[in-house]
Amino acid sequence: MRRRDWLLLFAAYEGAPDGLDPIRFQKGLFLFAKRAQVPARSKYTFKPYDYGPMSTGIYSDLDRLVDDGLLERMPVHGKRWSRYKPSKITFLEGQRILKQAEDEQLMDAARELFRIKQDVSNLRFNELLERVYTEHPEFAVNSIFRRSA
Amino acid sequence: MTLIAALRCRDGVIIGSDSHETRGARGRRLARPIQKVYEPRPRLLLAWAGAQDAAQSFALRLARAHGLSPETDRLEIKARLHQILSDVRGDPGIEGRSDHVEFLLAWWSRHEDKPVALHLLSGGAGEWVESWAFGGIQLGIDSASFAIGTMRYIDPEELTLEQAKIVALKVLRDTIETSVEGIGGRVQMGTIQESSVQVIEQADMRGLHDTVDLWEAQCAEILLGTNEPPSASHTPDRGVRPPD
Repeated sequence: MRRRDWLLLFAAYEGAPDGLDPIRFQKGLFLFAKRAQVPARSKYTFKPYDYGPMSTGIYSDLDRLVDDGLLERMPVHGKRWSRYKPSKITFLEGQRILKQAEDEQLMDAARELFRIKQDVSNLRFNELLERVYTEHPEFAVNSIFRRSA
Repeated sequence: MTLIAALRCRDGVIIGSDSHETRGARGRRLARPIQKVYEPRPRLLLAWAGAQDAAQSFALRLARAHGLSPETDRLEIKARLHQILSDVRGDPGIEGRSDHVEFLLAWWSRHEDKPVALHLLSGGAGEWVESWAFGGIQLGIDSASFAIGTMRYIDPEELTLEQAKIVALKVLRDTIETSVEGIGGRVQMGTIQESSVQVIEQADMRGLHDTVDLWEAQCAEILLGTNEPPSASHTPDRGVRPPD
């Protein structure tokens, strides 16, 4: 499976029916890269930014998924960012990717990604950052803001 | 006109700008995107504001100047830059030579082993940048100064380059959002540090924007207690889940 497949599966999983902001995609796929037992080519590479890990590859893949009609970009009122929202096609693709994961014996990774999606969707920004910083302090070295704990 | 900014931090300098070039009379101005931050010669970063013809001529002459490098003493570099600007303003072939033009230049001084930045003005003045410096349209400078005022708890000298990028971006984009006439478009930024000079690509700028977005969202959470997590949505969830 390609890393883009994991990204799309992350979007297709239940937990955030109105979609996710780019930050949650970044942090979610980062935790997946750290925790899941999948080949290196299936993971995004991250560098420590001011708010922890960031991968430019995720941005370009999100754009492609939107261009391909697999995700919808939803402007957020009063914010500069857009949310990436799943549609029927996203869910159909998600089912297909899950089947592929099963065929490739990657269901443990698929379940890990699901757990991460639930976590990331249930946390406020501050809590999410704390989680990432606590688990991976090496990616918080450039953080502009002190941790609250 | 435009807005340009320099921020000197602990281990480098950020140079930034808006990206609109405007033409026409006040109230009837047309804008188009243009590159205002670039590296006219190796290891030297420049941002310009003012008359485009004069600015481009200055950058071209700077690019062709012999024996000008970060190894040179900075006072000598400053004198050379003044001379180049003076030559531009004395050249009758340049249309905008009599208009106002100013520059922010930055390099890593090998002589002093530290980052330096210079604010060069067409009137002949040249000021070393200690922390922040702005150039361009006065109303934009006032807006940017106000934006800094809201972040007085941040000491630029304590910031790493990565951190300073975020602070500079926030100030620039907050200023652009005030819609001062003559300032607009995307933020452009470049950085100087000991090991490298970089004009930041738009893909990387996106990551920086997300970081500023997150900063603002975090502030909103702390101050207002808002921003429910995505799972709090009331929309029916038709997402998929893996088998247990």
